[in-house]
Amino acid sequence: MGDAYLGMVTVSRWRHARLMGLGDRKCPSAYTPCMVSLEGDPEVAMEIAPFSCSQDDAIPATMTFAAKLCLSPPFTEIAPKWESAIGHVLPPSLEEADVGEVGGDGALLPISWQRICHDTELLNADLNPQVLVLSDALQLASRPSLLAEALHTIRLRFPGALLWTPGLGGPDNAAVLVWMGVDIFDLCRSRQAHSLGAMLTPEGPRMPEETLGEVADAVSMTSHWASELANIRRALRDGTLRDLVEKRIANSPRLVEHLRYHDRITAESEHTFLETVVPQGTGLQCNTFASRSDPAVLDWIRFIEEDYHCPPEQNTVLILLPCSARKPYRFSRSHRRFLEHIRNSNPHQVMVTAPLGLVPRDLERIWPACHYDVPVTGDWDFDELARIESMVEKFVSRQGYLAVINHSGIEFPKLQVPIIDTRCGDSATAPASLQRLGDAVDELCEENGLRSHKRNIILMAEYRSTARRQMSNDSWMEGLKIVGRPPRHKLMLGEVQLAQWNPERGGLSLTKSSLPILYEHDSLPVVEIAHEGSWSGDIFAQMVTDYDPSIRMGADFLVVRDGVLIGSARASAPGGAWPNSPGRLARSHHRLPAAK
Amino acid sequence: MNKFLTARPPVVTGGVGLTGGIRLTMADSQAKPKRLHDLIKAPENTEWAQKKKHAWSGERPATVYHTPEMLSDGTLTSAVTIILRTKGCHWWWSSGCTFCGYFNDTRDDVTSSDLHAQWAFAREKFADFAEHGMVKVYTSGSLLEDREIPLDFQETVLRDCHELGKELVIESRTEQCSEEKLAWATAINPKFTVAIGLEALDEEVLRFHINKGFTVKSWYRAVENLQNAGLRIKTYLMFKPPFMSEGDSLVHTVRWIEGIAELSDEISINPMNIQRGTVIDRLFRAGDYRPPWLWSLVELIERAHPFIHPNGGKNGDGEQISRLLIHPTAAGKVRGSHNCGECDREVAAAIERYSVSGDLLEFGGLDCTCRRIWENEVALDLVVPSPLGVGQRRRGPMMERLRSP
Repeated sequence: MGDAYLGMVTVSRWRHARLMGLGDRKCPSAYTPCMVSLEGDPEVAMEIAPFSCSQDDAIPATMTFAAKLCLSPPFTEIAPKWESAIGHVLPPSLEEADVGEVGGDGALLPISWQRICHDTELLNADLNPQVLVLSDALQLASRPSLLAEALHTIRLRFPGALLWTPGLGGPDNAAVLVWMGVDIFDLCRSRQAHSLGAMLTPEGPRMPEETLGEVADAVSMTSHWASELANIRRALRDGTLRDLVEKRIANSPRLVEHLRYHDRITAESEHTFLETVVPQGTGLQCNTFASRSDPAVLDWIRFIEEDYHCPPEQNTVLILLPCSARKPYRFSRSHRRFLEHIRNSNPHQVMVTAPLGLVPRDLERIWPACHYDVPVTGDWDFDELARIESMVEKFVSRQGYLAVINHSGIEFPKLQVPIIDTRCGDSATAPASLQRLGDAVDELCEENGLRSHKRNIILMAEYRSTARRQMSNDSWMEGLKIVGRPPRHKLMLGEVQLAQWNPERGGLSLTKSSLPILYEHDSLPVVEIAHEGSWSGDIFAQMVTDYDPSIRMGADFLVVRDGVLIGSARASAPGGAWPNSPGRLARSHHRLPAAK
Repeated sequence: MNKFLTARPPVVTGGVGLTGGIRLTMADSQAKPKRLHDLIKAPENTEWAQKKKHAWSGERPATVYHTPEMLSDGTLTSAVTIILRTKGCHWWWSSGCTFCGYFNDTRDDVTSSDLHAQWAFAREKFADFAEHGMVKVYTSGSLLEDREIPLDFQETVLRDCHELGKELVIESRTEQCSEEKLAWATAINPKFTVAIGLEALDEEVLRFHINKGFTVKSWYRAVENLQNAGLRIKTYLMFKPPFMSEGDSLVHTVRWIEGIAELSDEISINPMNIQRGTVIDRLFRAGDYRPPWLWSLVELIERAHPFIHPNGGKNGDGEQISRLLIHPTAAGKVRGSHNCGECDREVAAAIERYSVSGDLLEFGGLDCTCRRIWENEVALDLVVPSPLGVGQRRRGPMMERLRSP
């Protein structure tokens, strides 16, 4: 007992959350998020609870964690089954102390805040747990930010292991915990509710409605779990887990707190869990207040405030425009009318919006600017206004515009540059407004001697801006020209095509010919692999010898072996999940002759 | 070996620059971690502790009161308890127990003269204990420890009680119960009771949960010496020490009672209560610890009763092995053993009655809706790998308590 390996494959992932297949990767017997059965639990189907756990009554106890299905190669016997000493655990409130007596360190790894803080053995490279048990999860959840910190840290250190937070999960918070990286749950809180005659439902605890024949029994306990696990698994497959999470946080103020802390950590972590390009059909639904702290939103705001540089061809006059429901904005009726009246392409167009704050025209076709959806009532609330005003002030100051044409309808009294209000209380598309917009553009351009740029110059500025956001730099684009019909423009270096705009991806598709140039200019992250013989398949953890932890999901990167560029690949998992994540880390894209 | 694992630090280094003091690092603490000992000692030198310590008069005992009791022959009586203000416990001077707040009641400059004044005060207040059959003298340490209590005062207490014909109960750690010391004491007072705070019949619990500073083995040695000296033995067990769940406490304390029943004339269970400035106080304030349920004490008594009364009898019966006492301090309050708030008074009263009668019928008819919650908590504590327990708040609106943590 103890050496068996748990077969796992990543079926779907979104940031910290994963849908994992358990058992034979070609035909998984069970999936996560799932449950573990404890003594005294009602019968739960194995598709829901493929594991069981028991412990002896020693101090400190030893626990046994076992599969109920054939989950270990060669998948002919019920396995694996592991034992581990839980060890002494000091509560999180005594975090500065260390008792120095931690639990086991095998495939089943008990972990606690104390251990995270003090146990240097956790840094041992040979440590390769398959199931982590956060034994003080309940106590961590009662202290501000600690649960989010612990889960994020554990996920980064052990991305390949399943994580269980004993006693913490319920149908009401499972989606949030899955979002934060938890894979395994138990019936503890459901049983606690049951002991009070209540039911723990996905919408929170409540008493049974007797007029409809409801009773708080074992059947209701497990059915609520089955229902919520189905919701979560389906949301993971569909890329809509965040929407479910934002519904569930309303179940408890603590969940709102955990999510806010976790969002902030995710947005700011160098080891990223974020994405550059998202699968087609992915949306960013910003329907609740919590959407404003979605890491993609926070990351966008940080990027616009700190890293974004407007195209040098458009750095004199800023036009602030309202957003539109349709994305990219340029395809909306309102923006077509704006564009008709903006007769000079020299001014830089930037949309004011919520929750992203500002979206420059040159980045409106990429994630998340092209994917967010927000309810529009025509009114801004205080927080939205505060965010937009703050961003505009920083933006104008940082980019150094000489004047601002304000067609957004929001007032910016603190701006230190001349500002022309073209709305004057009218709607954005009112003829008078549009007339004023056009006149203001003409007037300012004439005053400042700004000549309209040719279309290809603006397009190239847009692609360079995209490259600066989605890649490490745009220096590889020097001397490129644009050919082809929109929207699939080709970027050519002489007669050689280096890239093509892919509107479905919302990014540039790079050609094989571009790779040496990108490598030369350090324009893409690099992953080094050690792979004997010809490199033919995708990228898996076992092959990787070095990588850039800032690689985002969906991003292209260069593949190097022995210091020689051998191709490129596209990340299926974000850099934060790279060490030892089961399954494919990246899909190979181009292979150069050196890959053979 | 996967080179990747060794080539890159497999740790989170993204903490730099994060706002709000959030840490995302693993095992990277620059400071040497503290020992439990450091946490225990930390509050003692705080301003409030020092101020309080020197606010007391050395000539008055910390407290003197009387309670109903039972003499060693089973006769009902009244006992005077005198808690003297002393220099405290020598184990505290060097380390201390995780739950002990007695340092709050001590001062460093208490002299023999002060102690004699305190003793005189108590004797005068209760008229030389004329209406009381028993005297308990507690020193926030060990009466027979010469470093804590001057020898002449030890002698005064032993002699006075013997001459007054009062059953004397004193407290001691195991180290003081040596053959020599007991020979000296019994020469002055041949029959008294020594109460030892064993707390747990488990070396791991003594070391990690309690930081007791002595071992189970030393307790066995002390018991042997006390038996040889013909003295009565009272053993304290701590119910629900820090870092232990309700369920584990129940299971193990029953075993400990079974283990010590034959060796103890009395077993006194001390359910944890929160004393200011202790480690357990810090845990309590952080929400990492809740004092025991009163239901656990009832269950503990019901499970342990057969080890005290093998034939199912009650106190005073011939076949009684020992005597089981529980006087929950601050019962019904959130800093003491408590239930839901509705049933606390009734349950605590039954526990107190049992301590006198030893009769399980005291608990007949006791019930409350919170008993099911408690049962469930204990059951879950024993199967969920969460050593600190899965218990929730016991009071307040039910649905609020069930909301996600």
